[in-house]
Amino acid sequence: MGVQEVQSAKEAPAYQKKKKAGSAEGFQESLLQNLRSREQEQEEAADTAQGSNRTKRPSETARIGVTGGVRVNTAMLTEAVQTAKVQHMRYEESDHVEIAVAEGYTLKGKHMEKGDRVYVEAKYDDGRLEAYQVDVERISQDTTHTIERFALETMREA
Amino acid sequence: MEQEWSYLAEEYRAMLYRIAFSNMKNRADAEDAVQEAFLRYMKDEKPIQNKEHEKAWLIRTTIHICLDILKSGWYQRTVPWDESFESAAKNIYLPYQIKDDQTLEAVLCLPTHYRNPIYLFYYEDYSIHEIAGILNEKEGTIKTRLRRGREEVKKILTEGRP
Repeated sequence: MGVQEVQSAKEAPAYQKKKKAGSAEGFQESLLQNLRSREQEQEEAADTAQGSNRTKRPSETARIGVTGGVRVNTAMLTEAVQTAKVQHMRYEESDHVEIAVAEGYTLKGKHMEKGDRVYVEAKYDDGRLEAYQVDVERISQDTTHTIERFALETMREA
Repeated sequence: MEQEWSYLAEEYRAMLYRIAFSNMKNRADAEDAVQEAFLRYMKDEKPIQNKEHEKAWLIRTTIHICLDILKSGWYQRTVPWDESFESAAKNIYLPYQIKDDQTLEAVLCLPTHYRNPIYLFYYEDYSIHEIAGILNEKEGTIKTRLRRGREEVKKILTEGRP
């Protein structure tokens, strides 16, 4: 259900929202936007395909990537934080829960059976549902990254 | 009848109590609302399609009962005997630990049309799609209420209660 939400929450590219241009100039502008947008999508798909080799972008700008139809915020990914399949975990099944109403998200964490790994599920108030697998051994204890900090807290709670 | 009652109580009572409490803000009224919802469920002759439908029906009915009580003249002229609003967040009995009661208190201060979607989304972990079904609203409406409700919560947390 959450995945459906995520899929339905996909924003149409800006060029699709634009009204059909009546003049040739408008059409040309629209075509150029279309091309730029496609290039960007291809680049994002290639980035995501690299998978675990990805590191955080220097600019730390929030970007949206596509993995198997699920949109993920690639700004959240670091060496320790990688995307995972959404399991629709309930609060009762989680080792640790963070509810951030003012920031518009909830986090659920569970210590995974194999090694020092934590499964983290993030739900946002725009309908996005994202899951991460966090390698706790790779996290610095004084990290300020939201998912990394939460994973450390989950390990302590578990 | 007794079997049905015990099934309903075991399955939904705690969750419905929390939802009722988020509206009524006192234990006795919340328990009354939940009981009334169960009674209506057992009297209701409409066929329930599945468990999700059953749950959504009970939540929706509980919220409606709460709103009816809150609107009643008797309720508006009276105050709870032994519970102050300060203890509301502590009496809600969430099945998990939350870091701060202040945010929950702020959520409980919100007007109904923001409070119910926000409470169901954050504290009962329902999706926007499910909340839209429970509250008989469009998903877009729920998203808007979540966004605006969040702004209200921020305002309450920084400026104090309205």
